[in-house]
Amino acid sequence: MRTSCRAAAFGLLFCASALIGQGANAQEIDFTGEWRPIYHEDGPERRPGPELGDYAGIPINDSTRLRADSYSPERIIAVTENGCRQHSADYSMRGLANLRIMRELDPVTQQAVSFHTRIGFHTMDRTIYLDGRPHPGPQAPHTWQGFSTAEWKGNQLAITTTHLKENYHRRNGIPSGPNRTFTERWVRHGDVLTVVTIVDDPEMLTERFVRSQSWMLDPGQHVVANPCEYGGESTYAVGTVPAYLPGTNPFINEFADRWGLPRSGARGGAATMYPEFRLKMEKPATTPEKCTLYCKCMNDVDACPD
Amino acid sequence: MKFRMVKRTSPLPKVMAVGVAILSLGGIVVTAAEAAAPAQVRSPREAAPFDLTGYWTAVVSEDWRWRMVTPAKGDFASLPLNDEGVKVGNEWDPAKDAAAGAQCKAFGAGGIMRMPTRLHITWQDDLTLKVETDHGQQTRLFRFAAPRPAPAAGGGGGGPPALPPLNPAPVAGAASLQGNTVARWNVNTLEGATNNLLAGYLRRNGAPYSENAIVFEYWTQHTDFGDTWLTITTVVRDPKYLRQEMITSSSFKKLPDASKWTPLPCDKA
Repeated sequence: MRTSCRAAAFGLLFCASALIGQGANAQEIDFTGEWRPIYHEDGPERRPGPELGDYAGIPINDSTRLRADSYSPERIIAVTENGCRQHSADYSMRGLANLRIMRELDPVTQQAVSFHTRIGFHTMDRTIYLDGRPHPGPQAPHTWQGFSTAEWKGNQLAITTTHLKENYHRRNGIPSGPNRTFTERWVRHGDVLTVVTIVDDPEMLTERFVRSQSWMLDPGQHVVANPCEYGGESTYAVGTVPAYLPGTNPFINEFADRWGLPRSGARGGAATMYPEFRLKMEKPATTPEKCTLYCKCMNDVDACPD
Repeated sequence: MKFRMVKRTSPLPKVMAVGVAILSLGGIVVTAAEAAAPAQVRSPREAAPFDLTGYWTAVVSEDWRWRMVTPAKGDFASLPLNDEGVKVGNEWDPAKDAAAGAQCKAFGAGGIMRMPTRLHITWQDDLTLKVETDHGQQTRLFRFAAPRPAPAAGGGGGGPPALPPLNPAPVAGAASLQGNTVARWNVNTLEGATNNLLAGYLRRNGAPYSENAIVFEYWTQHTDFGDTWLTITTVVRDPKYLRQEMITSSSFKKLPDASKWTPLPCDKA
């Protein structure tokens, strides 16, 4: 090769390597690993499960409240299709099971082009694309985990998810609509991962719904396969959907009265989320003097006995 | 038979080589110039990656029955209290607290960000971020270290070096409900570590943290669906009463003005 061509080639190689080096300056955080959910907030609701009639702090509208009041937990047993229903991507990030995060790197640039999450409950797998691809059109199928894309914002991963199937904001009957979208922010502080989710669901909610939860890196954890098999466990006649007609649910006030809460607070709605609600909420119907049930539930040592 | 090599004389490869060499050398010169130039020293206020100032409201969409009301005595669900912490928590006596003028124990640094409150955040000076709450009428000061020149940029790419964990040194002076908070910016996170605390409560019903507790916080801000949000991850380290660090995350939404600001003393909040 002639000297002049060698010089040109060297120069081009230098410039190319400099450009690739610039790309690596972007603030990419490694979220990969096995993550254990931390239940220091809402522990009883997230693990054993929420109580019937607990809509507190969720900005539900009136029709969503009516639908939640009609819910019977027998539906999970009676309706076979619900037996293996996954928690959708927004609800699953409440940490109802352990989490594994993996990532794919572009072989040339070594930058992340996608993250994959696996949650150890009913094989909930999700792909989060960082390659700039657009979301599919409105007629594309909706899935339990939806379609997620993301971009880096400083040291935060900002994720947007669309195309979700109808699911629930809380698994005591509060539905989430099939046209909702939600955003997430993943931020890592050492071995702690905080995930903030904000759901926009104008069909079911009057305001955006924010929740946040944290995970601890746990290298000794292994998310196992947890496939679900449909099985007939019900004594209900085929086609039966257990439900309560309006005004007939006998458990509506049980949650509020058990814990000494104002009943209006337990009924939910956007007003219950803000500090001013404390100043106008009514006195509770009952005021338990001392805890007698689930007093140390989910404190990492004790289970939640009856 | 002799052969003689004939040099081609086309100027194009030479022009290309010179051009590429100039571009490459230019990059080297620029990089060297950046490394040699004195880094500008900016105060923490100037260097803030986002604007925290203004009014914020707590959004209580989690732990509702422990935050919006005073839970029953002994209700410690979700809290990683050890046996001593449970014992002390079961001794909670609100009348005794009131008689001792200790009505604000649930509004100390270990628990205040879980309270249904609003925040008013301002810069007291270039090194001190001031955070006030209306409910409980508390004031917290996040003190930054005096700025130093940033290290020169290295070659070869890569982000800023990782910062060591923030650990507050012991502080002389009286302990207080809000303690002493050291703060720093870490990319686009405000990190704080608070010590020199008086014993307080993780919840209104007397779930305790001790005077030895250290409270670590990570404040991040983001805008989604047109709203500006603040998420505060709080880590309470207290081996006296906790079997492990307690980790919670609280959400706040930016308010347009002070119209919702409602100062209330602790026993009314």
